[in-house]
Order: sequence, then structure tokens, then C-alpha cells
Amino acid sequence: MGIGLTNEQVMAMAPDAASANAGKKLAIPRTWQHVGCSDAALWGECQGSALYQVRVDLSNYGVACSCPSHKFPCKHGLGLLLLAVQSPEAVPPAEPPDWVASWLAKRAASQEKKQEQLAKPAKETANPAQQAKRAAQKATRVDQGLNTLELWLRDLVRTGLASVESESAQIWEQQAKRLVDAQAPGVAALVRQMAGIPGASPDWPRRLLDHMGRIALLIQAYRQFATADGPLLLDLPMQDEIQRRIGWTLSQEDITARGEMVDDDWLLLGQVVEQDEAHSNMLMQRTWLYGVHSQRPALILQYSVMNAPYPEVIVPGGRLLAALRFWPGAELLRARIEIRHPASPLPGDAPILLPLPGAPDIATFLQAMAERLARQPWQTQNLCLLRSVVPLCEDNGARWWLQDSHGDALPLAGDNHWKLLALTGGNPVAIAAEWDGERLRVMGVQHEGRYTLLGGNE
Amino acid sequence: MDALTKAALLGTIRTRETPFDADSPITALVTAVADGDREWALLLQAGARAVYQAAGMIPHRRTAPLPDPAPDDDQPLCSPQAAALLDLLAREGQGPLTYDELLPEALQRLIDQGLRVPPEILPNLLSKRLDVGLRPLVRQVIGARGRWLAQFNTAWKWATPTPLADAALLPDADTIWLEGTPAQRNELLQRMRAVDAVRAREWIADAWKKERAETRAQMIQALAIDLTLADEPMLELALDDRVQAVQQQAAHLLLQLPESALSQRMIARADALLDWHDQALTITLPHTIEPDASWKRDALPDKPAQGVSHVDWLLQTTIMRVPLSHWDTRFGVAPAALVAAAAQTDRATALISGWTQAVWMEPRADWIAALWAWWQAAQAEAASVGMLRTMLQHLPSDLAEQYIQANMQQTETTQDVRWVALLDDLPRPWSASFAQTYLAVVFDWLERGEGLTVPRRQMLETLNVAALALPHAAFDLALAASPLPDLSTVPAAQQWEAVRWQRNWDVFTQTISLRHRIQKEIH
Repeated sequence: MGIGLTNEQVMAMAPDAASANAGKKLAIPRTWQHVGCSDAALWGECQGSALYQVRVDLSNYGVACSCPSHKFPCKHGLGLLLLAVQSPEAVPPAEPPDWVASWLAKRAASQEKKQEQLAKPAKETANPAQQAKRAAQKATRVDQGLNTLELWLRDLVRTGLASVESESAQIWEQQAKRLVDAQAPGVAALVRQMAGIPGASPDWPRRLLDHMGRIALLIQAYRQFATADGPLLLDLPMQDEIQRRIGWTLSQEDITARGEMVDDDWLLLGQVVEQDEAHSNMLMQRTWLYGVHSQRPALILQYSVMNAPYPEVIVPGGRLLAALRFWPGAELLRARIEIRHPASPLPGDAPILLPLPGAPDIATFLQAMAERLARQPWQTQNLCLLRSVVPLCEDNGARWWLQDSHGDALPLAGDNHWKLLALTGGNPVAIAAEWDGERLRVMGVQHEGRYTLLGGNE
Repeated sequence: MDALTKAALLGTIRTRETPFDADSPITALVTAVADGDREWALLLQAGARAVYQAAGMIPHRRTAPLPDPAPDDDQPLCSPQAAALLDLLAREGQGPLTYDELLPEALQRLIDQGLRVPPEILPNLLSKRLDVGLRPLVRQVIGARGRWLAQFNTAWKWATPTPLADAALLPDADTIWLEGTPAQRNELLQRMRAVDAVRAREWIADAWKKERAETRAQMIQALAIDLTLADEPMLELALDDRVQAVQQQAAHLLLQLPESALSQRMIARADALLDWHDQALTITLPHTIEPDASWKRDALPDKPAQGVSHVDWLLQTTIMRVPLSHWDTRFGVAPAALVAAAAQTDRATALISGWTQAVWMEPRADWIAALWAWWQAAQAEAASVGMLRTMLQHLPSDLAEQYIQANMQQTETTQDVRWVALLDDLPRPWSASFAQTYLAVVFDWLERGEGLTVPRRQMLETLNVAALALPHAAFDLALAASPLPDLSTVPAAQQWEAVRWQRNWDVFTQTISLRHRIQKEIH
């Protein structure tokens, strides 16, 4: 019985390469017993160093396993999913046994509870006066934090950036910590990014200065509306945006109240997982979507601490019929899944078949990026869709490019793009990538009508 | 470096003026906002510039033509399931499962079905650290796309289409022979040898003096293809080479030509040592047993290994280089009688070892039967397993299986388990009937014994070989039921041993099911 996923999609769920490999090895019918599948779930028992019971909730691909692994999903979960994809005949339709049915019931109950909480009107605001006082307190602390940061930045420029190359990495961390204490974690993250710049490339002084300059712009923009005396130069979405970048977080209720909701047929184009700069035990997952009808990109950010599962299982490579709620602001990129439509097909049953939308050439794409920057100059990652490019490899794969029919080329991040080259065979293809302003990270490629995920944990 | 970065790098205390573009509207705005603060103005200026730069990014403009796209593939693709399987097998094998050993079987299966692998697994397959011997198999399943892809990575050059692809009779074969890479030349030489042996030999003769020792050895090796007496002059020349590896290679080939002078010299040496009188073999020792110059020129070793008697060594070294037919023809005595007579001499082991090692030149069934029986009886001989193996390698597979099968079936009475070590040398896959006997004997042994004893474990470990050698017809039988004793009742002190048994059995069953998948998925 099929479960509506492809090999690549299961691989994209793997938390790391080791789990992906281990999962592949377990995808042999013989390793499993009492395997079954219903409309709601997939289950099986895996004989490892003990007998492990693996369950998959097919409505959202939540996986649970009785093994002690901290990885999520663990290799047994991946193995069972792969088994169902590769050897559907080994997974007969059946009624879920008790240990599966009770788990499903428990999940359903907790989901209901969550839904209720979301649906509940925002908690009665405790006390308007107290709230205003707290906001004022925060504003004061942020102001102080930014003032200190400004002094430090100015000081660096006065004495010269040449000195920082010999400084220990601690100086950045110290400043960042101060900003966290001042309740400006957004700026703190920007300061942490500075640590990696000195000495990292021949043109590091220029890069460092650029980065400091952007922070200065952010501080200046914040002051422009935070101080009551100046003329109000920035509109409300821009103010939201700047506050968020400084470090104000919006409550889920705020987002519900003020964020735009867009109902569409979303293409789940790809996923990028990175370690958070500040917290080595935290992973950030960026899922890039594109609305077929609204023709707009969306970014779903999720975090995982200590290998805990992400709040929501999002399987890239297919389509999702859903309403997304966008964060209010000028960027209109970050979103969350508000309503998954029940009719939404399973990812593997809804392959991305229509010709991938996107810019016809690199110049058009860069033009669109320039317009985005004009609206919002701090966004670092964006979705890049190109309809017709050819991958190019230089020096045995040390350097990679995507080139359009005019001869324009953008460099690719990383050095292992052999799979991309193999898939295209040197013919023009449509790609989906994450653009960081300098390089592309290819997430998927459409060739011969088929969309294939690239990268991930392989 | 631009002026702004330079100012920031040196520090504003060391620069008198901030290098702003006086005409830019940004400068005016920044100066107003910074309110006279030079450092802040510089930072804002840099920030604005960074955003402008990013917005005005110009892509690289490339003028070099793109490489030609891959040609169309006419070979059909294997199924996605087969591709996933290949992808798995091509990964670096970790743990006890022998992926590396299953890959050739899967590749061969693909070739038999005329299939190719899909593009997405090509990088993985090409990057796999392969036995060089497997490369020709890989080349046949990667299709036009794979050969196209290989041109972009020097590590994959072996998979690119070579100009040698269509036999050796290319108009530019001579050019490649003179100017190609060592690997190309070697391949070309071998192909040429198969097509036009004379021309290949002429190539070798012409190049002989100029080549390095390693290449000379390779060139001599190429003569093994379609070897005839016409090659003897070239080989005699190589026998005079100053490098031992080249000499030995040449001698090895000359011995395969019974009419060659070297073979005749060996026969003369052997005849002086061995004679037949009154239904018995007599061994006559030469006056001097030190090797002379001609001995050395024939690439014979110049002294025995430590601990071996000089006489035994001389006898064995000589006898093993004489075709077996020589003896029964010369003495008019059947092999069985000759072996029996040899056993009566005081140099029995050396003499019979020599004959056994001569099997490769002429694997005659009657000789092997006689020799096998003797070694089989000579359990105490440390060399016996090695000698049995030597013969096994030159037997046709049905005969080889017959010998081992007989030994297996007698295990109960003879308590002789030397065949365990020989299973690995049997041609694969085993025949269905051999597999059946094997499973019956080994499973019976495992089921009936008491406790986790060492002999039983030895038996268990043959499963590692069987997992790769059993034919498909025996898969069901192999997986029908576990012959393992109930491991849960094993005393605590033996728990680790029980774990080992279980693991051995698990690897066996998993390997068999993987091989089953190879059969099922690749079609």
C-alpha cells in the first residue's frame, strides 16, 4: 500500500546524513514484522538490538518509535517510511493494532486541544496599564542597548577595523550578550554574524564594513520612528518589520489579528536546515513555498532544540492546499500554515508537475531582488526560481555556476552538485533555490517534467 | 581597496577627511542624519552603499561556449526500486552487511537485462571506491549520461568513452600506442593482441628497450592473450631482462608452451631427478644442488624458504614446472599408481606437492582425483588445505562441488572439516544440488549440537560465504527456519556468544533477502 511519498521526500525528513543512511539500510522487508498500513497510519516492528515499535501518523507524517534515540525521526521511522515507498507490497492494508490505535487517538486529542487553544480569543489582557508599563520598560532597555552598540560601532570605525583581526572572538559574543540582556535579540544575532567575517576572505574589511553599515541603518531606522519628535517617515508595516529585526517578537495572537491570510495551492519547493549561529544545539529549518495563484513566495521557519521534532512535519517536494498566515511587516515572506485543507493531497500524490514558474533569465531575477531590497533592505535569504538555466562545473567540481541563455551566471554555494549536473545532462532546466545575495543553494530541479529535490541529507 | 573601506580600516582618527561623494544625495541625507558625527556618517554611508551594491548586483558574464549536452540514451532505465537498491549498495558499506560484495551481482544483473541506472544515482556510483575489475561492469550500466558526466571529474575519467571503444583496428591506433596514457596504451595493446597478435608483438618488440620495467611487465602479460610458440623469441628476450618481475612473467608464459625451450629445459632437469624402476619411483639427486647460471636465467628461485630442506625444495621447484602428462607418458603408468608410488618414497610430500602445483598447466581430472585422495588422507599435513585449494581452483565447477560435497557428507564420520575453509574457493553461485546438501549438513549440525561450541560456531561462520554463494533456487530453503538453538536459555556466562550467533544469523538472512531483492527488482 502506498503512502504518498517519494524516496527524496523521506530523505528530506532525515535529521542528518547518518540517520538517512541508517534508514536506507533498514528498508528491507526482512527487518520488519507486523507491518501494516491504514488510511490513517503506517506501523511496523523493527528487530534492532531490541524490538522497536514504529508508528507513523499519515495525516501529517508524525513519527513515533519506542527506541531510545534522540534523533527525530529516528532511523527506524525513516526505515519504515522508505520500506513503504520502495516495497509497497511489503506493507499490506490492515486495521491498526491497539498500540497504534491508542497512539493515534492520543495524538488526535492533543491536536484538538491545540486547535481549541488557537481558536480561543486572545487571553484577556492582564491589565492595560501594566502592559503599557512593560512595553515602555522594554523600549527603554532596547534604547540603552542600541546606544551602547552604536558607541561601540563608532569606536571600531574611529580606531580602525584593522585591529579586530587580532581580537578574540569573545568581543563579538560580549556585545551580543549585552544586546540579549537589553531585549534586542535580533540585533544580537546580527552582531554574532560579524564574528565570522574578519580574516575569512581577502575582502573581509569591506564585508565587515558592509555588515556594520546595515546594522547602523537598522538602528537609524528604528530611531526614526521610535523617537516621537521626528516626522513619521515609515509606515506601519515597515515599523513592524524593523521592530521584529531589532528583537520584538509577535505573539501568535498578534499574527492572527494583523497578518494577511492567503489561500492557495502552494508548491513546497524545498527545505534548508542550518545550525543556529547563537545556539549550537538549535536547528533552523527554512521551508520555501510558492503560491500557484497568488504568485508569491512564502517562508516557513521552524526551530528544533536538542533534536526535538519540529512543531510541524512539512514534507517538501509536493503541493499543499492551505491557507498561510503571513507575519505582518514589509517583507511579507515569513508565514505559518493556518489551515491545511482536508482535501490537500499527500505530498507524493501531488508532485509538482506544472512547469515551474520563475524568472526567464538571471537579469530578471536580480531585478526582482533589487525591488525587494528597496522595500526591505535587511532580508538576507530569498527564494529564487529560474525557468531555464544550465549547471556548469569548473575544476573537477571545485566551482559551480548556473548559467542562462544570455551567458549570465550566478555561483552556487557548496561544492557537491554532481546530482544536479547528472539530472540535467547539460540541458536547460528550471530550478528552485535559496538566494543569499551572493550565491544560490539549489533545492530542487525540474527536468523532463519531474521535480526532484536536491541537497538534503545525502 | 575603495576609499570608504580604507578609511574604516585605518580608523577615522588617522584620516583627515571622510571620502564621501559630494554630489550624491546619500551624502547629504547621511550628513544630516548623523548630525556631524563622522563615524556614524561613515557607517550609514557604508550601509547604504552595501544595499545599493546588492541591489545592483551584476552577474558573471561568461563567454566560453557551454559543453555539449549529453547525447540521448537508448538503453532503457531500470525501475525506481532497482535504482534505490543500487544506490544503497553503492554506499560505503558500514557494519556487517556486505554491500560491496553484492554490488557486482546487482551490476551483472543490470547488464544481463540491458538496463541502465537513472541519472540521480550516477555520482554515487561513480564515486564509489571500486575494484578496478568492477569498472567495466559499471561502464555498461551508466548509459550515455554517465559517460557524459564522467568527463567533468578527473577521478571518473575511467568511465568516459575512450577512443578505444571499438576494437583496436582504428586508423589512429598506432598514434594512441605511441602517445596515449599508460592505461590507454595497456588497454589498446590487449585489444590489439586479441585482434592482431602479430602486430601487437611487433609493437612490443619495437618499444621494448625504451619502456620502464613496469610497462615491460605489462607488455609481456599482454602476450598471454592468444599465446603461441611464435611468441617464444620475444619471451626468451624478456627472460634476459634485469628486472625479476619481467623475467618471472616471461617464464610463466613459456611454461604454458610445452614445446618451448624453457619447458624442455625443465623436463630435462626433472627427468634427471625422477625415474621409474620395478614398479617404484626412484629419486636421483644431482651431484651439486646449488643453482647454476641457467637455473637463474629460467627465473627459478635461488634458495629454499627457511626451514625447507634443500633437496625437497629442488625436487618440488622442478616438478611443479613440468606438465603432468609427461610422467604418465614417459613411465607408462596411470596417475593413481604414480601417486601411490610417490607416497612410498622418502620425499613423498615434496614430490606430490610439486605435482599438485603443476595442475595449473594441465588440470587433468585423473591426476586431480589421485592427488585429491592423497591430500584428503594426509590430514596431518599443514599444507593440505592450501594444496586442496590449488586443485580446486583449476577444476570445472561441477567437479569441484562434487569433491567438497563428498567431504561435507562424510563430516559426521571423518570429523574432517577442512572443507569449511575451501567453500570460499568454489565458483559462485553454487549449484542447486550442492546448495541443498550444504544447507542440510550445516543446519543439521547447528540444530543438533549441544551448547554454543567452537566447532558449531565454525559451521555457523560458513554462512558468511553461503550468503553470497547460494543460488536463487536455494533462497527459500535458506530462510525457511532458523536452525539456531533457543538463545534465550543460554546461561548468562555465554550471553556474548549467543549475541554473536544471533548476529551471524541476522547478517546471513539479510544478505539473502538483499540478493532476493536484486533478482526481483532488477528486471
